[in-house]
Amino acid sequence: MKKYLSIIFVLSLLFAVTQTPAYSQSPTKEVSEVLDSQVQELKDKVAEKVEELKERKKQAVSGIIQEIKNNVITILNAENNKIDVDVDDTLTSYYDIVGTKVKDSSKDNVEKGDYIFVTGPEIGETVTANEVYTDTQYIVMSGKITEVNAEDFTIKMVTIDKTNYILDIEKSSKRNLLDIKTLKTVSIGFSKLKEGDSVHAVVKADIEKPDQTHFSAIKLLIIPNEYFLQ
Amino acid sequence: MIAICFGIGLGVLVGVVVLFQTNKGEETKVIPITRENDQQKAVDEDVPANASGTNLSVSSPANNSIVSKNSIEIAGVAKKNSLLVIQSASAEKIQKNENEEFKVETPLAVGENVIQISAYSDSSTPQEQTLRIYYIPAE
Repeated sequence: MKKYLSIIFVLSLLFAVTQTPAYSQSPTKEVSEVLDSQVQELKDKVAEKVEELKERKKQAVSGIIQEIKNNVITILNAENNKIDVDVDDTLTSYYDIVGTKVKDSSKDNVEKGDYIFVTGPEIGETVTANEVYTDTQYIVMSGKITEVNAEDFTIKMVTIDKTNYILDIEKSSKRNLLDIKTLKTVSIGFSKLKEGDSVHAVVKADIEKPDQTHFSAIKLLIIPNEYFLQ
Repeated sequence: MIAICFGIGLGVLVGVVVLFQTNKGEETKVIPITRENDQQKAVDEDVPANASGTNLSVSSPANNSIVSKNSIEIAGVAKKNSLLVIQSASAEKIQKNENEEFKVETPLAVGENVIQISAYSDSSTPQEQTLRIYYIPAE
């Protein structure tokens, strides 16, 4: 009888050893999974925020100087939004972009009407400037040629937003035409410009005339209307 | 002998019940999490790259980025067979978009680069996006 009791005891013990952990493991595993998930979520959020701050740090704002008052430069950007730039006499550095060079400059060389871009942390509508660069403002536009005037070497164009521009085609203006068969560009003379063709133009902005619609073209790329009729 | 058999039988029965309950518990705990993830993934995969319905979407670089290299790769999606035109003061690139995704290496000038990316697909009116990228050479 004792032998049988011993067997039952051993079996019960085996049963207890194999089954008990299943009971105790389940809730622990559940809690652990929830914790892991929360920790992962937190890690993802922190990584996302760090990435966002890093990206923000590597960005710049640009615009035309509207006002310089004490240590604040107010600029108007391309979207017609005013941005305040906080400058510091000791912390902010000034540079000029001259061709392919970045030259040292000073606060005294920055004045109302200049086109600048600024690097530094941006909070709301205010940027704390680490560096201020004076640069040339270029405008890139596209549309259709509506008129070619061979007398004064100008073209009229209308953009997608229905703005009309007059472009002076100078000898120095780079003019390229898309060859619709090879999709390569070829240099062309003024006589090849024609109404109805699509045009992509780069012009230099005149900062003193913010509403100007008459520019001297730096470069033109023409896509003949025949391309779209193929 | 009866007692032994009864004991073993009871033990086995309890063991089976507990095992079944444990598995059932794990199933209800795990499946919803897996399903949620699977559903999310399935939705993400179904969304086309240009889900906004536009013909052109530039994914990188971010607008107003500052870089220290004299060129940058412009990447995005545009309708298949679109004519892509990338133009700035220092760059002029034209290519037919063979696939939806495109990557175009574009040279940069020192300072601000206003880069216009245009995609002509079905008509002579392109879809456009303009980026401002600032190239400041490392000293």
